[in-house]
Amino acid sequence: MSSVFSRRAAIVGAGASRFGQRSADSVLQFAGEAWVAALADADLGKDDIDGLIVQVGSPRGPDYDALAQALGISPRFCSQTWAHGRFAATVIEHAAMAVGCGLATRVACFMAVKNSDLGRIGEASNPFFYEQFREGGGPHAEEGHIGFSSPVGGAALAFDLYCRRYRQDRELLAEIPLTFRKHAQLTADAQARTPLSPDQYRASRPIIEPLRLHDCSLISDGAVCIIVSSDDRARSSRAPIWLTGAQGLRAGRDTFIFGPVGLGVGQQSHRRLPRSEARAQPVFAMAGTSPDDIDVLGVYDSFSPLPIYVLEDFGFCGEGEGLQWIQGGRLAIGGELPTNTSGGQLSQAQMNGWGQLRELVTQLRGEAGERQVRGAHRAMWATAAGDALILERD
Amino acid sequence: MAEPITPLVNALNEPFWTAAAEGRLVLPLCVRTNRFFWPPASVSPFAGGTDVAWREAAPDGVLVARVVYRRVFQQALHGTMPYAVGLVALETGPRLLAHLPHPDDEGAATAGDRVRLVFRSIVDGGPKVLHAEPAGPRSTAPAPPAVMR
Repeated sequence: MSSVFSRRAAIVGAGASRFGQRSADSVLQFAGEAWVAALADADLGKDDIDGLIVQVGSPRGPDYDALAQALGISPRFCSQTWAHGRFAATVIEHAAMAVGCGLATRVACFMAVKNSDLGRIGEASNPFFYEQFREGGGPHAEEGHIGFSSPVGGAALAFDLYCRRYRQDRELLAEIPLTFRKHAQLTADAQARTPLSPDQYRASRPIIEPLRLHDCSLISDGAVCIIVSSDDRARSSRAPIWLTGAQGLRAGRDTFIFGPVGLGVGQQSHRRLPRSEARAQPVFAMAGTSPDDIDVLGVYDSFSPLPIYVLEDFGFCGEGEGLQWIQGGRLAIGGELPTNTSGGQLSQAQMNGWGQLRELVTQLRGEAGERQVRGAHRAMWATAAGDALILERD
Repeated sequence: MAEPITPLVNALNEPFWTAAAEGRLVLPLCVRTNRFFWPPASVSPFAGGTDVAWREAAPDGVLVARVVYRRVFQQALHGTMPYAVGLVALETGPRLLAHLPHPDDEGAATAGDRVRLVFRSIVDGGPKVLHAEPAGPRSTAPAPPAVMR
């Protein structure tokens, strides 16, 4: 299928800092480590980069202007999204558009973030405290005046509603954190590599029921840098990963950041996507593929229920079937649909999805070592909020 | 200064909070379609345009989902732990979030229950905010699906 977007840009480099809780360090240090790694990975010099997009700026990350200064570059195209996560695919899409339209030739895309020196979102020591009083509700449906605080609350509410609507046992969810933890055990830079048993999962302390500690992503400091190149420059790079399909982040009354379309949270309708519609999402049409032909999947997993919704909204399984469908190792390396193969936000690091994007590049290049998915040719990134990318190697 | 738990009040949502202080539920209504909506907006999300009016709304609905806070995020609510927050589907259409104190007590509203919205303070001297309380006898039938299909 013809598209002005498909195959017009490629990822030519990906790098990351060390992940962990590095409260004495600066986000500029994390960004610098990821930058050096990404440039080396792409076999490029700093002056080959003429575009810069930052996902998370101040107060948790470095703003684009401070970052350009620190890196010693003078990009002619700069952009930045807000200080929460969720814009990973959008940043990559903006970079592809910039190089496709000639506003830049190679764009460095950054997630650099420092969380360990802050309280959790909702607490007074976190810079987002006042967002729970935002008009119309906070970014995750918070309403601080009734005690509906923290992103965990919105994720818990959607999962409670999901389990009731489809009469599902919440304990089936264990498969998600346990599978991703096993993947992290194969990932050298993952933060959480100690084994996690079903009993440990069940015994972990409740945060906001029905979610427990092990349903929540890690507290991480670090950075990821991904370099997006125009098609002509990418052809001469060592291992270009082509952007063959994309679709944007949704918003509106039928969208909830931590639930599928039409679940019935907030003012959402009750109309879930029928599987035929889910399998025909624009990202598949643009790439000329289907859920059946995705070799490896990356999903936003700040909370463990989120992958379930992605599987349903993108047609890997039917509405209400996700919790059953994942049982028996379907998402494991070696399974039918290896997902978050480096551990995701639950076990590798909370890089707001950028760890997964980097991992998809690594997998498509065949450089994932003992966690390599055999024959990985086409990868997909998708979130419950609707944004998605399809990546393919040559 | 104590950690705030007061809502942001401005010209757009002031009718809601004024009525709340009097214990009444008012919601924005799209006049052209005669439908209530939430959250407040100066334009109708249904019909567009600014033909929006505040009207008293029946506070009756169903608790469709409930979460229980076992960890303190807001220090102002430290003394109220544990508490729950629920999503209430009003018979008039909109869904509102409401506070549910003492979720572990016998008789506390759980998902699937009919509830009524009332306004109470969570902490002494705090603003009166939405609470859900059980309304009517609890059904002995198996819990219905939380959402009508």
